[in-house]
Amino acid sequence: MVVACCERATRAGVRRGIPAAQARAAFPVGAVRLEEAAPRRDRAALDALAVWAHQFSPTVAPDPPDGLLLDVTGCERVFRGEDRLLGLVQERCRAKGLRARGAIAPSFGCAWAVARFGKEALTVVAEQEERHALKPLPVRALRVDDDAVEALAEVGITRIGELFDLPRAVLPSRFGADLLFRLDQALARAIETIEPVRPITPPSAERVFDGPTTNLEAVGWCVRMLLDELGAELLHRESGARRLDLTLGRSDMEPARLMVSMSRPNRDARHLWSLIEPRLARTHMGFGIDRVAIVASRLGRLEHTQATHLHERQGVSESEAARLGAELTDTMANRFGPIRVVQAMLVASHIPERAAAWRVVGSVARPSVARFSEPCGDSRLGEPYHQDSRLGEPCHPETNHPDRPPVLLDRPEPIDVIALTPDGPVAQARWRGEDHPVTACLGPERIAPEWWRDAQPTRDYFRIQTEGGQWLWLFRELETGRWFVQGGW
Amino acid sequence: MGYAGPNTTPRVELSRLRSAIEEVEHRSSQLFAPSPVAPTGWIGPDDALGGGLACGAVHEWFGLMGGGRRDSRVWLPPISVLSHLAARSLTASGVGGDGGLVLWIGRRCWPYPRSLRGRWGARLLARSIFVEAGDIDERVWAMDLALRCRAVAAVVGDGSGLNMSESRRLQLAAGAGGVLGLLARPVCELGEISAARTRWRVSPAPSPVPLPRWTVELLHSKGAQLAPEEARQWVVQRDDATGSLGLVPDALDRSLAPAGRPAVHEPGRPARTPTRRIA
Repeated sequence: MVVACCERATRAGVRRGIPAAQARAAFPVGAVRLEEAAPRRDRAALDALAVWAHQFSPTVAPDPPDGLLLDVTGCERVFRGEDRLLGLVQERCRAKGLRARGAIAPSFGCAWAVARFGKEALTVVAEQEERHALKPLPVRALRVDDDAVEALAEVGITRIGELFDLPRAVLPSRFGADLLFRLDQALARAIETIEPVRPITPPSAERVFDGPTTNLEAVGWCVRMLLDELGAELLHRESGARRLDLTLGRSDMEPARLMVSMSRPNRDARHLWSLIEPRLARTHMGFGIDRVAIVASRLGRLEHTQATHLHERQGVSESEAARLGAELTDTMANRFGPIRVVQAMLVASHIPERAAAWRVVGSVARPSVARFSEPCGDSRLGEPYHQDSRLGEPCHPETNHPDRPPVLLDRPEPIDVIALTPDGPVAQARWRGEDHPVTACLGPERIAPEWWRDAQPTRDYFRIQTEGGQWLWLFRELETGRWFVQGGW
Repeated sequence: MGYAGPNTTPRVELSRLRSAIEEVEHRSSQLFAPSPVAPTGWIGPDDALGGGLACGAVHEWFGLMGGGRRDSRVWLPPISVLSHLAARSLTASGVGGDGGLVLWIGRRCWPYPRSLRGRWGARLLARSIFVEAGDIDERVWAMDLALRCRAVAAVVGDGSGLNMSESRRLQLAAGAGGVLGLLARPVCELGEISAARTRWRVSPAPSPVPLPRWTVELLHSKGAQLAPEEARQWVVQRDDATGSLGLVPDALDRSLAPAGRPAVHEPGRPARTPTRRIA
């Protein structure tokens, strides 16, 4: 079922609620990109947008699934008029890639109705004008349920204006109490409550110097002091930083920004300093630094722990090991870049190079770096990690699958093969310039391409043993008949 | 009386010497104290090493040659053996909880994750962190850091191009952290000196059964007397179901391996194995 679609799809006749197959049929093959609806992610995005919208008003409430309610009473003065405020909201939304409709009205109900069902994308409804603005709108604009809309349609009422003509007393008894309440809300006669979100300010610490300094030691000392302050604040909040943003204000230059991220929440000033120090030493100071600010922009919960001295000799306790391990990976990720310190995960696929993927340590359990065959090397260091849903779904490691070689070449290498009969076992293989008589040949294991992805040849896999005892994993492309080595034992 | 005489001075020197000797002995006894070991799971090598590979030391594994060419660019590290040992070290390490981490440093020695099978493979995979470190400096830095970390059970590193001082640095780091260090090195570097506790050579062995086999040879073990060459070679075989390596008993090996080519499948006849279609 279609939950949402783009403008082009709407023009082609796709509507909300029609089956996905019908929407797919309206376009040529491959022109449609369908994605599964994720209501929880939509909700999270809406909440984030509500936090963002605090630039327009101090009271912002998300109105799921697709709206924001802003109490702008008094705010219009800051923006020099309600028209300008509304225009600004639309402009900033467009800058974020969002198409927005909006209305300012004396009541939330009225603004809700006009914004969604009004003629213009942006409307300002003046005081006492609600009745006039609501009149031509459909009954659905009153936020009543489908039953009430249907009941009204049965007696021929489709517009709100027609409701005004009915006696108030009959509305609750015939169409339910909700309708009258919603009507009163839209006319600002009944009370409406909203649930505004409150943005949480991340813990931060800042120092401004008397004058610019180029003394690295002074700056480093200041950063350490700020880290101590931040650590105390984080301890108070019972959380740890997942990401730190360090801003160094430079005189006569744009500020330098450093970002360090941790695989596990941490508030240990010593460890955080060890991550920042090498980065700080490489920062260009310009004509001097006059301001240092640190913001813990991503937080994670980190409970208080009791210091133990019992396990000192025998080994490392579990929580201690987790902390040490996280600090180790952070330090490495800080030097090599996060995408070069990875964990492996298995993906539900039979194609060998797709069956495993790498993900950044501490990230969610989805492939986030690359397919196995793609080197996560320097070329991509600058890029943010892409979360590509096309990489496939993670699967459980204990799933029963056939044995695979421990060495898988990044790219299958062509190999010359001699077989006594056209489809018979391999008798001799020539790889990397050397001839190998083959003493054993097992196979084939056929792996068909995944038809729902881009076309790939079907492969027949063989395990061969060369005379030296080395086992290799070969495959033959069924369509072309070419042979490749993909790995070995 | 300005002269103290020859009788008094040596006595002082002797007591000082004695304490110095005691100190050295104490240190060496610490150095060679029975440290925790990670059993290899193979009876022969475990006996030869006194229980298994010593934790807190570096062990070098000279690897397979890829395609048989004798230059260092195309060598294949003995990843099967290394992942077997890394999985074994998880149970031996003194880290609480799920056990320590296993760090794979250098892309060349990363195993294909699908080859880690069964329950121990899943456990190893969950505890593994892969570090892509490029040149030898980066690799040594990363291995040094990992070997000093007490949350780590084993470090498997690409040790190609390692010189003596770097190898000593890693050995000291492993001693400080009590971590098992496994270095994969190409066979062409067999002549290089190193500070590793043991050195091994792994070479593919022809197998009469359709399972890969390797000959594991103990080349050098610091501070231990080595048995004659024949007694230091063992044949191990990959277990298809679990992915771990088991020792092939001598008798079995001899009785099954014919002199010529051990034919699993006779070339010339069509393959018996039914084709399996997998989508």
